[in-house]
Amino acid sequence: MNLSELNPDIALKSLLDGKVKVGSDARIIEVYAQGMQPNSGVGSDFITILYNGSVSSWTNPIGQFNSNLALMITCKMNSNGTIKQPHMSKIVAQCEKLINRRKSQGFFFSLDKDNVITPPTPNYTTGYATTALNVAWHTTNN
Amino acid sequence: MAGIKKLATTTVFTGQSDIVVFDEVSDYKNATFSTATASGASVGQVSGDSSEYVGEDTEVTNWVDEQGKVITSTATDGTVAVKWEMADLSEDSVVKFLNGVKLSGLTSTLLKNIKSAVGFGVKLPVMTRPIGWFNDEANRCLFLPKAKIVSSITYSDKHFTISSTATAEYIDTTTLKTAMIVEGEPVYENDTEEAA
Repeated sequence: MNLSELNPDIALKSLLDGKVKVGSDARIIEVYAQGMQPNSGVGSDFITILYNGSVSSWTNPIGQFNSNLALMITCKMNSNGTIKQPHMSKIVAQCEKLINRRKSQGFFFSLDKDNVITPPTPNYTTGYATTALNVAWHTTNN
Repeated sequence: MAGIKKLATTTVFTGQSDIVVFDEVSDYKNATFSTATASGASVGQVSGDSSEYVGEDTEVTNWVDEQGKVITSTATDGTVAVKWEMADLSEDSVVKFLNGVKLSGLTSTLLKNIKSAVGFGVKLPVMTRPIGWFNDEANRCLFLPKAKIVSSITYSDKHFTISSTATAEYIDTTTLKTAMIVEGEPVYENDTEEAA
């Protein structure tokens, strides 16, 4: 794989796009790749994918890459500042099923056993809470 | 134009998603890949970072002259072997991997609520089975049709686990070789998605 094709965030996003749903109306949650989250107009729940660590090639010449992504699940909190724990758990469960040990666009993804998930962290300024999944990836020719 | 051909990496084998120990083969002479993989069970969760390849490299022994120049070399084949530590320490796993035996009717005045017991350490914990090590994508398998599996109980990071080492023994039939890399996926019971 060439460096110009190294877009695991977009590949991971494609595994989630249109598939993570919440609420009785099965509302689809928006997923944003690295740097694609707008600074306004996001919904009450959304997912952001960020690079999490440096990218390495285990071959020389370069060609086989691996690193980690952070899958940030962000949900609006209750009006009293508490986290919607069951709501977030449902989203986490869907993401785990959709991405763990899954392949997309030349990348293979699995949840990293080290720091696999962070506890939901509230942000009282924005009114959102965020939990992060640590997703390991490597390129694959298979 | 003549030139050195570049090899493109098209196939890699990465990680471990599962280790499957297949049922004992009663007759290796007439065994086939189909019969050797007819039934089996996963070892379940493996302790993190305990999976490793422990095969020995092929060795070269040089016959040298008085000046140290190599007259000829002889090669000794290496081995293919893998090792893992399984998390499950249930009675069934102790019986299977440590050659244990389930005990019943145990009573004591100083121990209470005795529900069950299993003993081991009497018979040598060794068995010969086909095993498969599946890569992280679960679409490729290192298959050892005749693996000598030796196990022992071990304790690390505050966890007792069953540590097993499987070493490939020589076999050469039409469909079974000492070690094989099989392009294929595992089929799990009650898992329609995986079996599809």
